[in-house]
Amino acid sequence: MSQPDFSGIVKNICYGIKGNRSRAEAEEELMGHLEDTYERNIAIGKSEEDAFNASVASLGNTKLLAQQLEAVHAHSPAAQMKSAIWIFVIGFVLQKFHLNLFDGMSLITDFIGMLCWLFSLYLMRKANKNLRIAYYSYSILFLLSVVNNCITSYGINNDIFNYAYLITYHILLAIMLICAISGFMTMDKTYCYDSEKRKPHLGFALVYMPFEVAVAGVISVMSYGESLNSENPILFIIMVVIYIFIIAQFVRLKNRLWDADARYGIDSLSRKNVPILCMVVTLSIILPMCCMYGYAVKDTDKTQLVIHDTDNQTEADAIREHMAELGVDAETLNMLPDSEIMNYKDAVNMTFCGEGYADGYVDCMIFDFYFIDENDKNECSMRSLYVLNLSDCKYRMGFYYFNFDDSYSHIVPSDEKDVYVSILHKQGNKYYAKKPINYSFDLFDNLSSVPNGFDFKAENDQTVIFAMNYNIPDCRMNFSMNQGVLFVSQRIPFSFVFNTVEQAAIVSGNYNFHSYSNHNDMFMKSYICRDGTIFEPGIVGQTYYQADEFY
Amino acid sequence: MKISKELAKGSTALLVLSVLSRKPMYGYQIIRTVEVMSEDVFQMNEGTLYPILHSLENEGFLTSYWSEKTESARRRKYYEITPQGLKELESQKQEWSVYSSAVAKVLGGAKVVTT
Repeated sequence: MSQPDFSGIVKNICYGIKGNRSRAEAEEELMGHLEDTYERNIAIGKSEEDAFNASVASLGNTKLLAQQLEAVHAHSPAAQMKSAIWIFVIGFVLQKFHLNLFDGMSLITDFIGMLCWLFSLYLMRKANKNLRIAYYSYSILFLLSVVNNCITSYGINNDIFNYAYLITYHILLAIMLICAISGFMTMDKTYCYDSEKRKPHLGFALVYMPFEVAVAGVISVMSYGESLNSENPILFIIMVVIYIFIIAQFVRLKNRLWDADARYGIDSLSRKNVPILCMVVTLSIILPMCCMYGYAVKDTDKTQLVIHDTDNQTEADAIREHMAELGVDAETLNMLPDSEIMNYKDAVNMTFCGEGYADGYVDCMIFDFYFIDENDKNECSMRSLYVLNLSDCKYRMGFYYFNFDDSYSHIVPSDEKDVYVSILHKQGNKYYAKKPINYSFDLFDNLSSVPNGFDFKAENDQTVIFAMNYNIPDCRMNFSMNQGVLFVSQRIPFSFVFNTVEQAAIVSGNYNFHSYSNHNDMFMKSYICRDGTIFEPGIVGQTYYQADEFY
Repeated sequence: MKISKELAKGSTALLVLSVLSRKPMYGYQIIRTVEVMSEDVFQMNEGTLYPILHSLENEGFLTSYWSEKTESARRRKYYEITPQGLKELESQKQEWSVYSSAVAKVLGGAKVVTT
C-alpha cells in the first residue's frame, strides 16, 4: 500500500517549532500518526482520498495545533538550555577579553559578562542540583563583587576586607565552576535536543571537569592583574590560544549535546555551527585586536591630560602639600597631574629627596641603595618621581639589582620586580601622557650586562616626568640611567618616596650617587627624611662628583 | 455515548498519564488505547494530544525515546512516565476524585442547606 504524502501538511504545522532537532522530531511523530490513521481508515474500507482527508481531519484545527506546538517548544528546557549556553559563552568572552577601548570599558564589559553568567546559570538552574548550587554560589559572588566595587569606589580600602573578599570570591568561583561544569556534563537528556542520548555524560564530565577547572585556574593566575595589551606579546598570544581553546570546548560540548542525526536528514545544525564557530573564532581574534588597537590609539594620539584643574583638587592638593613637607620639590609636584599625585597618597613615612645638576653628556648615572626589610616581609614598595628637561637626546633607563653578598645571603629578592613608569611630555602648554609601562627588571651581575631598558627619545625642549612605582625586594638596588643623556646646565630635581617603611629599614647607611661623565661638573645633593625629620645626618649634604673619580 | 471534547479537554493530561503509567506508548497508540479502555466513550482530539505530550515532557512528567526503524515498522516516539509523573498522576487522580464526586453530588440533587 502506497503512503500518501503528508509532508507538506506536517511541515506547515511544525513550522514554528524552535530548534531543528525538535522540529524534525515533531514532524516525524505527526507523520507517523497520520500514516497510522490513514492505514486504519483504509483498513475499514475508506477510499484513499477519503482516508487521506479523514486522517488530516483527525488532527483538528491545524492552525491551532501549530500555535500550540510552537508555544510548547518555545519554552522547552532544551531551548532554554541552548540559550543559556550561548549567554554563558558571551559572558566568558566579555569577562576574559579585557576590552579597554576607553578608560573604564573593561569594568563595564566585566560587569556585563558577570550578568551574562548569572542569567545563564539562572536559566540552567532547574536542570540539576549541581547547576542550582552553581547558580546560588555565583549569585553570592556577584553580590559580593557589587558590594566590593561600591565600597572601593568610595575610597575605602581595607587590607583585611580585601583579603577576605578575594578568598571568598575565589572559593565561590571554584564552587561555581566545578558545580557548573559537572552539572552541565551530567545534564538530563530532557535538556538536550537529542532525545536518543539516554545516558548522562558522566564519563565525559569526569575526564573534562578537572581539565576545565585546571585551565580556568591557569587563566585566573595568568590574567590576575594583567590586561591583554601590546606590551605583553607572549602572554597575549598564550592567553588568546587558551581562550580559543576553551571556546572550542564550549562549541564541541554544544555539538555533543545537539549532535545532528543523519537519519533526520538534517545537517542544518552542523551547518549552522560553521558560521557560529567562525564568529566565535573571529571574535576571539578581533576582540584582543581591539584591545591592542585601543592601546595603540592611546599611545599615538597622546591623550591630553588636564594638569592644572583648579576644581576638585582638595585631596591632590593635600597630597602635594604633604609631599612638599616631606621635601619633594614643589615645582615637580605642581607639574604632576592629579592622577599621578594620587599615587602618592600613602607616601607618608619617608622620602628621599635630592637635586642634581648636570652639564654635559652623561654616560651613566647610578643610584645605589641598600634595602633591608627588617621584618622580612618583602613588602617594601617605593615610588619615585623626577623631572627632566631633555633636549635632543636618547635616553635609556635600565634597572637592575644585586643580591647581597654572603654576609647578607639570608635576604633574598622578592618576586615583585615590576616597575611602573609613566611619562609626561610637555608640548607648548599642554602635557600628554603615554601609557604607563610595566617594566620588569631582572637580576644582573653588573651594569654592562643590563640587556635592555626603557628607551626614550627626547625631542627638542621636552619636559619629561618620570613617575615610577617600584616594588622593592630585599636587595641592593641600582637604578641606572645609562647610554647617554645630554644635560645642558640641567637641574634635576628628584625624589624617592618610600611607602611601607614600617617594614623596611631603609638604606643601611650606604647611599651613593655615581655618575660616569666624560666631562664637566655634576653634583648631587641629597637628604633623607622620615616623617618630615631629616635623619642619617652622615649622608646629608652636598656631594660633588667629578667625572674622573669614576674612571 | 460519546463525551463532548470540551468536557474531556480538562482530563486529557490525566488520561495520558494514567495510560502511560501502564507501559510506554506512542501517540497514536495512546489515542487508540484510551478509546478502547473507555469503550469509545473518550475520543481524544488527536491534534491536541501532541502539544500535551510535549508539554508533559517539558515538565518532566514524561520522558521519550525513539524505537528503532525496521523494514516492517516505522520509527515511533515512545513516551514513558517518570517518577515525577507518577506523583503528578496521583495528585491529579485525587483532584479528579474530589471534582467528580462534587459534580455527582450536584447532579444527584444533594440537599442544599441555606441559612
